[in-house]
Amino acid sequence: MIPIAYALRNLWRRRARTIATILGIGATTLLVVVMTAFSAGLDNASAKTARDDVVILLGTSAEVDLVRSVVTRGSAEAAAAAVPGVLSAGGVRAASVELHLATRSGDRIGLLRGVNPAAYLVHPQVSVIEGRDPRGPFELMVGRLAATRMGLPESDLAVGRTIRLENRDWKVSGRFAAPGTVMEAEMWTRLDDLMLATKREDVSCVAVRLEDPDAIDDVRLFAARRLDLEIAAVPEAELMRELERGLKPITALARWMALLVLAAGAFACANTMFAAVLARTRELATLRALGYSPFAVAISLVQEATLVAFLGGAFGVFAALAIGHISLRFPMGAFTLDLDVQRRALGLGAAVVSGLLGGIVPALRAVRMRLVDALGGKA
Amino acid sequence: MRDLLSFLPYVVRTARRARTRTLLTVAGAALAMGLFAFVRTVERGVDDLSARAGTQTLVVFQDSRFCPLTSELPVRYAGPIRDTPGVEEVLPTLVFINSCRSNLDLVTLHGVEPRSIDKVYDFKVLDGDLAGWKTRGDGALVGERLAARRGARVGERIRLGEIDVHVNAVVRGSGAGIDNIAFVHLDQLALARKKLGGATQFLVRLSPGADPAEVAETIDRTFKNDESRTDTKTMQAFVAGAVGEIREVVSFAKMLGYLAVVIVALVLANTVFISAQSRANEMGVMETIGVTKPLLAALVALEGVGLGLVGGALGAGLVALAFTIHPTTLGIEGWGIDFHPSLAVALQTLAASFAVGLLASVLPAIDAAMRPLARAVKEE
Amino acid sequence: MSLIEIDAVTKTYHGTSEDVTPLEDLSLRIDEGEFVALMGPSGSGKTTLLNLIAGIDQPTAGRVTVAGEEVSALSARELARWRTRSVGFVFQGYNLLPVLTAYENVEVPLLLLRLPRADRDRKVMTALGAVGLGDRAHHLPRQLSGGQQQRVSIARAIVADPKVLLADEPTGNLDRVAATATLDLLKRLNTEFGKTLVMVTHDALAAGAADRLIHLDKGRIVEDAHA
Repeated sequence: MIPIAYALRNLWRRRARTIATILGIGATTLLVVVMTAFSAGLDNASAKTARDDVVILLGTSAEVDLVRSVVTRGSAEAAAAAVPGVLSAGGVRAASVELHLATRSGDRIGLLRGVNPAAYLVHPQVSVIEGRDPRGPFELMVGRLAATRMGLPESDLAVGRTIRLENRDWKVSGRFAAPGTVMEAEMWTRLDDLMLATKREDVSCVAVRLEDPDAIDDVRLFAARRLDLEIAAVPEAELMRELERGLKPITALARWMALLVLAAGAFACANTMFAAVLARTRELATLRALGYSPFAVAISLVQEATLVAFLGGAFGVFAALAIGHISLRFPMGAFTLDLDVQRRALGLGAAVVSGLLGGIVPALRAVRMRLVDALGGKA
Repeated sequence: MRDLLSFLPYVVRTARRARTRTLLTVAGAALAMGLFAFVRTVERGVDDLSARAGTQTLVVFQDSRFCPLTSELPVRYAGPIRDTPGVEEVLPTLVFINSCRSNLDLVTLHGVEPRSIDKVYDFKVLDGDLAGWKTRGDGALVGERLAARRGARVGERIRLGEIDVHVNAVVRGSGAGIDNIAFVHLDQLALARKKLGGATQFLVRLSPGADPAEVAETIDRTFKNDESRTDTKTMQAFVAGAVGEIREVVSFAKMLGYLAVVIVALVLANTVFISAQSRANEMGVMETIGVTKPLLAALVALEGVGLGLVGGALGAGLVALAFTIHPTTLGIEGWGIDFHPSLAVALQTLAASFAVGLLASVLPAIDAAMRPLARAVKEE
Repeated sequence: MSLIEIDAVTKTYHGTSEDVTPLEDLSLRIDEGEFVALMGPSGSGKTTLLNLIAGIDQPTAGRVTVAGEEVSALSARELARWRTRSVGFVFQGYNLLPVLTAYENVEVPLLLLRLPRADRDRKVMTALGAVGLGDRAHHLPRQLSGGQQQRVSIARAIVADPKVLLADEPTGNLDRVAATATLDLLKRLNTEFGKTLVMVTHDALAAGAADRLIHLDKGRIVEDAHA
């Protein structure tokens, strides 16, 4: 076997090229990490994170789009009180009357949701991570992505700070997490406060959580029979699917771009591995002439390729570690690219595997090459 | 330079000789520069839309509403708006769009009163006639891009949104977004949408010299305590608001584009390095015959630049072809961002490819040329 | 005045661990029309001397003058041009550009001299004719035998009509038959066309073709005799 020092020495001897290759592989690894995180982040706006026991009562003219749903407060309260099959805990019905609004502050758009305490029962994904829920007048509890959504630095929405929205000052009373849902980009407040501030008399919807997910048909029947309320029952999953459909072009766009870049990166790696070895046929032939078996030569080449790929991968992973996470504003939403441990491991793994694969093809070529030709310079 | 041309066959054949290496390099460059061209096309679409929106037209919308389907103002507002100082003409508009969020098959209908339309909009009739539309109750003026996407031709009947219309004319407008809009009669749309007496927005054409900000403020003040409060902005600000939502995603894509370009540079540099190194002996011989070091370096660099350009042309060409075969418009909140194949983008891509090729080739070329001649010739 | 004048030339290479001085205070004169063979063991400096005459390398001390031109004082750019015009170099390893045909290989020096197409064509075909390969003009090197490739490189060396032909072990890679043919060609170039020839060689047969033998050892001339 050729000692590994040989592989190391070769890499050092051609250090400019080696460094260039490491950087190239590093860049591609970083891309792999970012793109898989991107894909995962996009999935957050999808039906996958919807609860199957939550049903939304929308205004009949809304056509499965929450943005267009308008329900009079009276109808909403009546529906909340009467809808069948609703979960109950501690004497509270899991039926939440909600007002969803987009608000503008300069050219920043924020998402507000006016709720009552029942909301926390209906949406168990919401957990308070700092401070408390809004209890006093004009208090806000902001989601982890709310600042990103508004294009503001995190500190502007820290607990205790004040923000001016809808011509009023609101105090941040707490922060919440709702990982993987659209709620994380929102700012929650008391329903009455929001209605007062925006001078609205109507709400957006009633969200209910059922004891038994299969009871959805009872809810639909209820909505159909109570024509006076002018509501329609839509499972949360369906709403999310509709949302997904609406964002599809953008997510498709993003995924296509990601694919292009990854392909470019893959070509880059393949090219560098392939070409680097090809230029050394004479040297490799000399090794063979010295008595090293074809297998030994091949192993040495694979060692080199894998080493370079590993270093490149490590470089990429460190870059990902340094970046940590990227939060992006999205039409009427926000999402995070979390460059976490799993993604980084995937990136490093991909780099090493590509190194192994990339080293094999030239190794095979080197091995199959006719000794005579190689030494004579014709290879 | 003339010498460079004389040796062009040599450079080309040298690249062809190392077939696999050259193909891999060109493919990688094509993909990355293709992405670059794609992102530039998207950016251009966004910029175009924003640039076309001017400050001499105001949009009166319902306060605190974003999607056009949620804005409702009474048509009677038109009177007081017209009476506001600085206002030359008002156009009440009922808007229908087939999606509040993003979609690739945007249909935007603007229901308007026929008589005022050309006082507020500037458009060019490409086919058909405007006068005919004014008198035909179920007629439509279809914007160029929308017509292309839906295959609408003058004289035909098509279904747009929820209504059937007769295509009176295909138009192109200088204002923002017109190419993706179909103008129909206000009454017809209001009836179909069950919104008689209602409008989504009012388009205001300002008198020359009027101050947009002042007029906007006056209008909003007029309706402050009325049935529905208004929010008046210049068309420019209005479009910016809708389109702003996508800017961050586009910036992210740009970063990706740059990363791709970095990868291309590294690939090219590597290829050029290797190509030169494998021909060290050959180049030494050329020097003994009298090829100067600068010319030698240039020949080496030419391969890098050439490969970069070929890749760039391929990438840009594919993107342009894709958008020519498949005219694409991304709809956001009713606004259409057109992805046009454009010569400007192609040229920019080529220029970038050239620059990257040059940058990537510099070090390898200098390294190859600086090799001491005696040693190069001896290296067997 | 002699065609080639070497005055007290010394060449030192600065290595990583020690300095090497292949040539030390060497002086030599070669007249026009001579056919000189430089011989000696490895490390004697013969190739270094050839490189200095060709302008491929510069002396550390002393002067090299060829056809009245002080080669050792020319700038890199002037040297390049001078090499195209005044010197034809033939290597041991044929050294043809593999992607160019025989014709195109021979044409290269003329491209550098910016000659118009018709002139280039004439000269190339003449050169190829002189080496007996007029009918193989459009073959690629890999389609030619070793001996034929060497002849093409000789054609390239003479196409710009230089005064001096330098050859470094021209028969080293050839079999007996091809070697003899090559030497005959070189001899003819010398006697019929009046080219001054300086050839480095190990081969006694090759040396036999020359009319002056110079032996070098450790950077100095130890013998200089006419055949």
